Amino acid sequence: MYLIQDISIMFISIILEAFPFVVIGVALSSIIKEFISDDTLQKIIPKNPILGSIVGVLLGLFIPSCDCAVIPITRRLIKKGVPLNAAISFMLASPIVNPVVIVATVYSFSVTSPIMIAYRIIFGVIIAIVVGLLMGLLNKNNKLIGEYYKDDNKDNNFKKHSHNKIFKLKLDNDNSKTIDKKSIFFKKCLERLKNILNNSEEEFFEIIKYLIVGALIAAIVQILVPKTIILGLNNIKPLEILVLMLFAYIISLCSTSDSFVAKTFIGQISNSSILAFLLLGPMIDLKNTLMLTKSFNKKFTAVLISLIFACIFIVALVIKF
Amino acid sequence: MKFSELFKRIVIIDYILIILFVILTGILGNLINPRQNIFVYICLGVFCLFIINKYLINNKKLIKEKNHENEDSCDCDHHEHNHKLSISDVIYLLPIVLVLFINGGKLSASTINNRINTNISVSKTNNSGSSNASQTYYGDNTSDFNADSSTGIDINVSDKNYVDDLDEISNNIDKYVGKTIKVKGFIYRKQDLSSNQFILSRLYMYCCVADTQLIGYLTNYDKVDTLGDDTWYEVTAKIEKAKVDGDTVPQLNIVNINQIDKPGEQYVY
Repeated sequence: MYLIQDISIMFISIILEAFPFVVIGVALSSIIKEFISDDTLQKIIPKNPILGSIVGVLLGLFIPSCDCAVIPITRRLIKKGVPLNAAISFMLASPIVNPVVIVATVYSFSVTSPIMIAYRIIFGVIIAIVVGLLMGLLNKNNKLIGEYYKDDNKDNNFKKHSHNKIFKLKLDNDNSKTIDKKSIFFKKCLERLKNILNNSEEEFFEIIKYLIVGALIAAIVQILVPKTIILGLNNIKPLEILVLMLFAYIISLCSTSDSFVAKTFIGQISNSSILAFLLLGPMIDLKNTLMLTKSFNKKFTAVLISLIFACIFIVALVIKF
Repeated sequence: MKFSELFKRIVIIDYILIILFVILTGILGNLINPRQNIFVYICLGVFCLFIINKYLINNKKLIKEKNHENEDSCDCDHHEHNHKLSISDVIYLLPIVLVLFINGGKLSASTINNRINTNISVSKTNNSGSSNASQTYYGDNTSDFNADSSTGIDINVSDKNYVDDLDEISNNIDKYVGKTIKVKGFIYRKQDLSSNQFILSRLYMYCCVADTQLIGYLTNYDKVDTLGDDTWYEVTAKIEKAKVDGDTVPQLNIVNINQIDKPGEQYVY
């Protein structure tokens, strides 16, 4: 009985922590949809893939978001025609270069292992760019993103015969009937707010189903699997790195708090493994994977996760400190 | 209104009820760090807006409403009105079911023991080689510690200052050796400690229950066997230096120990 209770506590806690950020994410996504035109966004992102990815990473600084909020925003960016590589770089880098996360990392490691802070940010950005570029290359002719691309077309289609036009026509009619401008402005604001709310709610419902399943699995693992398992394998370095990466993946911590958990490993496992833990957690985890499969497709998600795991594994193996 | 639309309203109202429930019963503090309450309130506000949006704003004669006929006549399928419910939508209701089981939001002792093992060395969470960094944070002022000269206690550790005090003392042991400290916690016996040592511990939450950790003071007491597991004590002790795994950590040498009731707040933040 106490198991059910503890799993429920863990689950509700993760949900209460994640929901607000998902809500903020879908709200930002809807605001981008409502206010920023496709053209403007496409103009901001350079055509050159490498520059595009770098701008994607920089966007992460200006649209600070944790790993829950970043997925709806990334979806929106791709639907708005932002190149895939830039959007992926944004998605992977944003939870690491986010100022809140940097402050948390500095606080955790400033005394014990300051180099960890630099490595986390530098390699986080490099891996985000590399994986973004690779995904862009693999997605030639939209092979990977497939169905989602059709969805994108639909969105454009929608733009062409958008209701906004109808709405505008109607407004013009109203104007001719000499309704005062103030009330029209008010109505327009209300209309926009309504669009944003409707769209937020729709996206919220699309995503949280997967978040709920992910949170439940994470809660069960957290309660049932003793963490001593992680510490038992510290003789074989590659294995230790892999286990730490898997651990980061499954427990699905928020990127703002994982450095506090990582801190407790110092001295018990190699620094490279801690770095792998710190890099992987923000980029991808169980609850995000389920959200990704909904937002994109299974093949896309599988390729993305493999690339992230491979890059971080290589970095952790090569870096010695 | 389509049934699927009604279902969405029910789900959102569910979530509003869950949030109100944990806030009003005070369980929220056992689930997430109070620092993050503001985000939960924002979330609650947005959920309420979702509901208001559907019920109130809809009723006002908005221009879009007048255009509804046009909307129906367009044959693109971006409108989700025809979304049908599937069995998997039951998942949406999982939180409201599980929230019934949380029973105050306090983790059971066995789960806590399971988590404790991550922290092989207690003070290691806060231990550091140099004291320079922490000096800038805390300054030189010991009056922060609620010193109570009438009872001879130099440092009276409250829940609010628990983490800061532990940090400060661990980082500047020399400054505090010989001082008398009064602190609360529960007993955790770690296997690799000597038989008369235990950890007077607290659960520390940074964000949510998923990242809780055990922190505490290494404590020395010759009658350890008389103390119960998972029992809370208030300890008055003198601070000493000890070595654990090659690190110098503060150790409490017990002057006086009293059993106390389990406090309402399980965590220190």
